[in-house]
Amino acid sequence: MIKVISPLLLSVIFAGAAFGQEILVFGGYHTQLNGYTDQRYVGADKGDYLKTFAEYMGAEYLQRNLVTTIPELKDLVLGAGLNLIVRNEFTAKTLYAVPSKGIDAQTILGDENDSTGHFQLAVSGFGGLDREWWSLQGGVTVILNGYNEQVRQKYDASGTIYNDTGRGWVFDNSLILPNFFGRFGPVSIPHIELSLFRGDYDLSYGALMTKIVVPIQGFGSVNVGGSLYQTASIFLEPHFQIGQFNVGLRGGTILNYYDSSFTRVGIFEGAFLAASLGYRW
Amino acid sequence: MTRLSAFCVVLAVLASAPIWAQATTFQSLIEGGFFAHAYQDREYVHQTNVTFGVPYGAWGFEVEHRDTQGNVLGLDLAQTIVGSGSVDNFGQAESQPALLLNYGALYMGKDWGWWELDLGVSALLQWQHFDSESYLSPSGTAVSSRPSGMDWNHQESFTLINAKARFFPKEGPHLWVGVGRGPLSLTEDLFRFVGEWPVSWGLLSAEVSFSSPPGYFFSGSGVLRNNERLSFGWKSPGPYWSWGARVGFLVRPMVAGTGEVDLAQRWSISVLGTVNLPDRKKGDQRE
Repeated sequence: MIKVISPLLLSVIFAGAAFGQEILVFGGYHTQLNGYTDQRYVGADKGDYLKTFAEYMGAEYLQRNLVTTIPELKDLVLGAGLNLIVRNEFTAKTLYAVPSKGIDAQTILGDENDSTGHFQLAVSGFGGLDREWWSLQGGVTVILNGYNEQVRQKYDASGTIYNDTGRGWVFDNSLILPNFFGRFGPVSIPHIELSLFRGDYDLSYGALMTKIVVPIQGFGSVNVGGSLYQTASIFLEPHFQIGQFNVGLRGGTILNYYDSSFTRVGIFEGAFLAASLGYRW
Repeated sequence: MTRLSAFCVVLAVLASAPIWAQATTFQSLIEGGFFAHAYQDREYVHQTNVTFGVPYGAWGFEVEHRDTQGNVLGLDLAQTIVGSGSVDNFGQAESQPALLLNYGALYMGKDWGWWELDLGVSALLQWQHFDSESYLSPSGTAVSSRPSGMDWNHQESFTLINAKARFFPKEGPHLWVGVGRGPLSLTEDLFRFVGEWPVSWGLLSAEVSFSSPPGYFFSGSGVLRNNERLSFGWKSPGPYWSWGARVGFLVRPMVAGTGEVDLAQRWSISVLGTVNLPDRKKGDQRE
C-alpha cells in the first residue's frame, strides 16, 4: 500500500501554470423530484413525489498568464462559464377522495406555476489567483429561470375560471448570486476543491460542490466528491488524461434532498450521471 | 540560561521545515454503550423530557499515509448500529427504530510540524427500520402499501466536509479539533475537541464531543446532530503497534432528542488499536 500511494505524494511538481488556457464542456442528468403531501398515507410520513428527468450542459473557459509584466499578478486567472439545465415535464397526478376521512380529491401539478416545462440558464464571470498551494477565485453568476407557460387560468365575467392561452417561454425569478472556487493543495498531489456555481456543476441539484482530487501518474485522476447544496450527494469521478485532453465521468447518488417529502427515495431515482471534456493549451 | 537556550533550539528545529518519517498508520475503534431516545413523559403536566436507552455498537478505522514532506492522505470508514426498543408512556408506545449508520471519509492535508490541517469529503448514510406503511383506499380502509424493513432514510443522510486541525507538535502535548475524523462512533464523535499527551507509559487523551452548530438551534429531523460526551483514553506505548481503551460519559443526548438519562446508561467503553507501518526507504527516517 505504501508503494502504491508514495509516488502520489512524493511527486510534488506543480503543473498548474504549465498551460495558458483551458476549456471545459460538460453535461449530465438527474431525476428531478417534486414533493407533495398525501394525506392518504396512514403513518407519520405522508410525503410523496412526482418525478421527471432533468438534463444539463455547459462550458467554462479559463485564461491564465494574462499579466506577465507585474510579478504580483502572474497567477491571475479570469474566466467565464455557461450552464443550462432543462427539466422535462412532470406528469400531473390525480389523487382520489376519501370521503369517510374528509379527504378531497386532489390534482398534483408539477409545481404551482409551471406544469409544462422549465429551464435555468446560468452565466458566470470570475477571476482570482491560482497559486501552487492554493487557489481562490470569485465572481458573479446570473441565473435566468424560465418556463413555458402554455395555459393561464383566468376569470370570465361571471367569475368562472377558464384556461386561456399562456405566454409561451418567459423568464421568472431571475437572480444574481456570487460564485466561488477554492483549492487547497498543489494540483500534482491529492488536494481538495470547493466550488459554488463553478466547473461542471449541476445547477439544480449540486451548485455547491466539493471534491478530493487524487492524481495518478500516467492516468489522470480519481476524484471523490459531493454536493452540499441544493441537495447533499456523493459521487465518484474518474478522469482520463489523453494528451491535452481530459475526459471525466461522474456517477453518484443523492443522499438528502433537504425536503420533508423525501424520506424514502428509490435508489435509481437518486442516481445521477455526468461527463466532461477538458482541453488545455 | 542553558535550559532556555536548549528550549529555543528545540523550538527552532521544530518550527523549521520538518522532515517526516514516511509511514502508513492504521487506527481502529470498537465501542459499546447505550443510545438515549428522548420523549415527553405523559405522567407530568408540564413538559418533562426523559429518555430510555437502547444498546449501540460502533466500529471504525482510519488509514493514513504521510510522506516525507508532511503531505497526508487518508481514509475513514465507520459503522454504528443502534438497537431498537420501546417503552410504554402511559398508554402510548415510545419507540426507537433500529439504525445502521454508515460513514466514509477521504481526506488530504499538510503537517507543518507545529500544526496540521486536513480537509476532505465525507458521506453519512443512515439506514433505519421503518414500520409497514398503509394507504387509504377510497372507502377509507387502510391497505398495506409497503412492508416493514430496513431502508435508507434520506432526511438523516448527509454529505459533509471533514476537517481536522492539530495545534502543537505530535511528539508533545497537543490539541486537535475534528469534524468527522478519526476512528469514530457516529452518534458520539462527529464533532470533537481532543487533547493528547504522550507520556513514557503511553498516550493519554481527553475528548469533548459536541453537537453540530445547527444542532443547537434546530431539533427536527434533517439536521446533522451528535451527542455531547466527555471521554478519557489511554493507549499503550509502542513504535509499531499499540492498544488502548477509552471511557465515555454522556453529558447530553442530542441525536434522538434531549432529556434526562439514567446514570448507568451514560457510560460507553471503547477498545482502541494502532498499527504503524514505517516505510524503510533510506533517508526517509526521522532519526
